[in-house]
Amino acid sequence: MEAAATHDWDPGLDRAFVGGDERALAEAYRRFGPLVYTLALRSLGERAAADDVTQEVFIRAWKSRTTYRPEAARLPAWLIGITRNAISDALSARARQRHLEQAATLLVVDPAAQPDAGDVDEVADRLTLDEELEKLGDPQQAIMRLAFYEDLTHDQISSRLNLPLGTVKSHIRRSLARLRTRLEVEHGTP
Amino acid sequence: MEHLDADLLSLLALGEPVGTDADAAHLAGCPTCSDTLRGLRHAVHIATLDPGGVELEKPGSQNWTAIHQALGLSPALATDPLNQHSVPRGAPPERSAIDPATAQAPLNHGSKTASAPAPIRPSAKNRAARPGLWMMAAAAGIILGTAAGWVAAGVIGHTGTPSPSSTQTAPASIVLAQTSLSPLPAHTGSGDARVEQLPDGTRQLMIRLSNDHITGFRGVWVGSADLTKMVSLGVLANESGNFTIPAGIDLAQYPIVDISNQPYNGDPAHSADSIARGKLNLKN
Repeated sequence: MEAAATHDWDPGLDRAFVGGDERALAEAYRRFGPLVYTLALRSLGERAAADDVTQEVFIRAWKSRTTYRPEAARLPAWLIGITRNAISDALSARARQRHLEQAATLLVVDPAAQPDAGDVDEVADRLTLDEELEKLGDPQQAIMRLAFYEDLTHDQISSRLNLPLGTVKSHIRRSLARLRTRLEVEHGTP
Repeated sequence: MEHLDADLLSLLALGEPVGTDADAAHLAGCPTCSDTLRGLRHAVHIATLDPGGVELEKPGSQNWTAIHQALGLSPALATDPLNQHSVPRGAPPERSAIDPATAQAPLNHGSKTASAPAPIRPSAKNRAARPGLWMMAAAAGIILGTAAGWVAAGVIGHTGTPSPSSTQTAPASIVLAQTSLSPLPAHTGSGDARVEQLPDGTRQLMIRLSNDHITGFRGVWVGSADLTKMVSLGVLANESGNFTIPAGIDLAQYPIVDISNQPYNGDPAHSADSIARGKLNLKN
């Protein structure tokens, strides 16, 4: 099961989703169900709890699709946000029932649920940053894509896009700062 | 010494070989600058991460079953999407085009081509062949001539939840149009259709249709007067059902209400087998 990135998720699907096309929901499940499930499994440590969260996320997403605004957020990032909420709800429900130490003990019950790399969270973050990148607008977005995915230096970008060096540098600075802030906001750190 | 220039830190985070020895020395001794650099590097790391390199676990099929059931989704979508290569996509509008001369005969000339499931997201090839088609349909919030699984808020009528209209007391809904539904040859089901505007402004198509023994399931459509354009509104599961009409649909352009017998073959296009039909008389 491979993870998927936002960049090959058609914006048309975002609008189909909000428009009530059930096939957009099924496609979202096909593409992001494994990520949602794995995030929940890693955080909660139990398959039954991860099942509950997975169902909750897609049911909640579909029921609240009228409040989803495609122009403000991409669907994958929106789903990740719902997933994080559902996981934290599940964790607090569990914390209310037992002490956290006991919950932590539970985490080792299922060896398959143990994180091997711990980078599922990073995949989810990647979806969030994909969305933030799209929001940058141009030329910022073009500049950052060249830096990230074509590995160009700022002077190569400057000649490629025919923009002054100083402009490229300040766009890079502001865009990177924005991506960093977005990640911190997502994880609740200042 | 002053802190490092923010532009410089950004370029360092991107891995560019910039800065002097003095900059490096400052960085080594300055928690503020190294903190900033760490944060920026993390953002670069995440943005350039290859998601394909991370193994994910597949949720069991009981999850989709539970979602499908809780939301009362179309029977056409009952199969776990994770067991499919892709979710079947609706036919492009031209495939559902109906020749007015043969309106009672085959509605769809292209049904043979639908045996191979097409991805809901068009492949690059498809996109090149028919630029903008899917996008235009999706942007309008409608998928022309498309899947019977397109239930929209008509889901309300299938989940056992009372429909908005039945729970509304005041103000009352307004009837915008209605028609009787007459059976087509080889069918016996008849009934009526009514379009009501709910207090929240949405329009509901309310269908009542007596039972007719059919082999498939019943698709609900609105179409243009010459039946060259059809929009699927969902599946009529019982003798009556309510279907939300997308706001972008002008009923003056789509006055025909058509109920079809859709075979369970996964083809989202109109089956060409209409059970009953009527023409809405718009009040204004």
